[in-house]
Amino acid sequence: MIFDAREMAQLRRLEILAAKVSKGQMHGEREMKRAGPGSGFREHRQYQSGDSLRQVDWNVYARSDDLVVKEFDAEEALDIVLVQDRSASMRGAAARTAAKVTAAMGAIALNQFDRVVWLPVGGRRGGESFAGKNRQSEMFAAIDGEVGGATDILGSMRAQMPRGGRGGLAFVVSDFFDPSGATRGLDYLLARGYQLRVIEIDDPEALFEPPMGRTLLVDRETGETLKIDITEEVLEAYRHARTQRVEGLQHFCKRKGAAFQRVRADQPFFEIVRNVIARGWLAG
Amino acid sequence: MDFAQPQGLWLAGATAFVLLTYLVRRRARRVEVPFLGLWAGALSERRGGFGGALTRWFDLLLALLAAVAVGLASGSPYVPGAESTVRDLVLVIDGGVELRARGRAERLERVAAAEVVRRAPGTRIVVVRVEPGGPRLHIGTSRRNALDFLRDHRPGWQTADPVPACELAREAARELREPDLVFCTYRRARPDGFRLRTIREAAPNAGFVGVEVLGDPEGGGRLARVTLRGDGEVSIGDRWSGTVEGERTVDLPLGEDGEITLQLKARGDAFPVDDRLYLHLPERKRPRVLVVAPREPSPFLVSAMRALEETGTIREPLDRTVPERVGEVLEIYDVVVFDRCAPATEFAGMRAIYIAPPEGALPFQLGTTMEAPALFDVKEAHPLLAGTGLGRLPPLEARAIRGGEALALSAAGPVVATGPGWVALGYDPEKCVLASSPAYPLFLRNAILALAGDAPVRTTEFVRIGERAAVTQLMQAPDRTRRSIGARWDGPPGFWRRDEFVVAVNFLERDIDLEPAEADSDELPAVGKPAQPDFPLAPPFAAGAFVLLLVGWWWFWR
Repeated sequence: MIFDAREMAQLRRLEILAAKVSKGQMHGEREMKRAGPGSGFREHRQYQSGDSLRQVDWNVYARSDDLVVKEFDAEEALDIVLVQDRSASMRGAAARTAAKVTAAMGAIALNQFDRVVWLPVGGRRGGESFAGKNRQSEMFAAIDGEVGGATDILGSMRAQMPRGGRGGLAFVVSDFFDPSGATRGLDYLLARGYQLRVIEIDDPEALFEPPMGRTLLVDRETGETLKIDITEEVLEAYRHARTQRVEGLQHFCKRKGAAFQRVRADQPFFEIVRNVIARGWLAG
Repeated sequence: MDFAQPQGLWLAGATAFVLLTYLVRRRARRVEVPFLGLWAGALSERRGGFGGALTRWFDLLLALLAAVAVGLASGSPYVPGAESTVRDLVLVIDGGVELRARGRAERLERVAAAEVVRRAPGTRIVVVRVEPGGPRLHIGTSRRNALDFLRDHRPGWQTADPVPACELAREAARELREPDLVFCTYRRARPDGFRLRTIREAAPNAGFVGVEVLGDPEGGGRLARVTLRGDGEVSIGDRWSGTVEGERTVDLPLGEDGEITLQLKARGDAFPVDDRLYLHLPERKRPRVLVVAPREPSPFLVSAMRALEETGTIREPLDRTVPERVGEVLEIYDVVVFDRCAPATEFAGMRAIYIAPPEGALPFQLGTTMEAPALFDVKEAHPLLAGTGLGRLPPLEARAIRGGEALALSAAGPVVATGPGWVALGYDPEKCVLASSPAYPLFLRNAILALAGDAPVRTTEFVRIGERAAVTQLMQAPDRTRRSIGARWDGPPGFWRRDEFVVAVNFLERDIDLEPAEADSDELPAVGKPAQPDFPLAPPFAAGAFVLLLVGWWWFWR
């Protein structure tokens, strides 16, 4: 089980906060700012041709002889897209943390009757949609699967994103070690109208610096090799490149209005939850 | 650089290959990284410089160099020792009247001295001075003494004949090891122009070579007139070849640079018109000896003849005069030895040695026979008796020989005498106390050489007595044993010869290999390079490999 009982109990008390919600097709618990099918009364308006007679407030008509119809706040389901990096670079603590973060968001979404679209990057399974609390275990099993393959966020989005998506909220959980460029996949989601919440898994293992000397570096995902003489200069350049990559991702998110959160792979789960609550992503 | 063990090179190559393979495979530690792009980016930041490439490959380069050094060291490399750059020197220096002009003798001396100074220690130097009174000679290994001899110039008032001096030099050159023969005159101011080796190669069979550079007799350019005297096929480089019988003169046109085929390396004005240069190259004369003896010649006579070639023998009974048969073959032989016999008639021009002769047509008179005569007043220093020790070998009986120069006296009169064309021994060596002594063969050899007209002074017989005309010379044999050699000056004293110190002695056969003792080798600092031993390079290579490995080790672990 990906969560223990205590963690599950905490997750049940949380809900996902979204700054904007696209018009969905499913009826959910989320109260929308527009009129629509729902249970909460919003206002009366004059009857117009084409309105259903069932919407007419006959009590008002009896008292004031005005033919008005009642309007209610729309309560619609939200599309939560969970992009989970399951490439070979995510292994060990990084893979575990990414899976828990992804599963937590999915569980919260299912609890509030949102539809969850799970899109793995890498790995062996394809993307899948989940709706309803009864599919929570199934979703957990999918998220907690084996890692492998290369990171290609854009490719995975293009291949697995459902057609005709109406936008929504997208969580992208990855280390963003994408040879084709991590921001291209994020651009794709933004172009599809998704509100982005970027969670970078910072794997301490990835910070490992080989000892000095001639070294054959092997890419964990692609198997590509690179012979290099590790010197102090090379390490310094490597650290510089790593910092630049992180700063570039943060700058991109800031520029595009996407929320960015960095999560250490060895960070306790409750601390992660506390941090995202503090950033206003969750409420509980 | 040569290799005593060339297989070491293969080892070097194999070592380098194995090491290279090892390094390439060993040094690349395999490390998995989550994202290679970061490293590639880091690498691209610092790539592209020669310094970077050199740094990356420096340790490999060090290791390869070390491997090569080890391989080379295993091949036992060495630098071949330098061969001696100078050879023995035979210097003929002119001392004729032409050198009396101011500065000429000094200039010639400087040129000759430069040749001497170039020689390395141990080089044998023969200096022959051409002087009107006859050639003077110096031989030794001391350059200082040779220079002193050169400074002792005293030009005469007559033109000196260079031929005897050249003949002397030629004889000396034959016995030295590939010497340079340098002829210095004032007119030939280029002492390096005429090398004996060149002449040998040019005219190996010529008995005489004379070179005369002519002017422009008919406007056809200058000519080198080469006079060849001897018998046999002669070639002068690739310019001329032919048969010489007696004497032949060949005119060779000089090229534009004044060079002739004889490689007389002279140019332009170095040869004034009618300049003349002689080099006498006589074949070593081996006297042909006719022995007229009893049926069995004396043992000492046989041993003496072994040293001589082209001998003939006429055997006649003892105590008989020889008939005219000698006259029939007399022209063939240089010397006739009458062993206990005598000619019946006189032969004009015959040079003969008489040993215990009976009565006959003799150039001297025989005295009475005396038994067991004691010898006295033996001229041991005479070239005929030098080294023989005849005075210590009293005969059992002897007859006096009257006439000529007495070399040994007895109570009966001279028993050893010499005269024009003859040498006589008045007793039979077999009838001596020590008949088997080598004294008699030596005496016979000396007599033959003297009568045959060979040079009275031979190359191996030169010895420098010392600056103060000492009478002995300290010599040493190849085994470093030393011996004093007695000698005397037999040249005529002259006005310019107040302090003669170069003389010649007849070495005994046992002394032929003697050389001047080391005490005589007070050398000046050498200018020429003596022979050097091989210099082994294996230790430096091994040390270099060790240092390279140390540096490589430090580079790897720093």
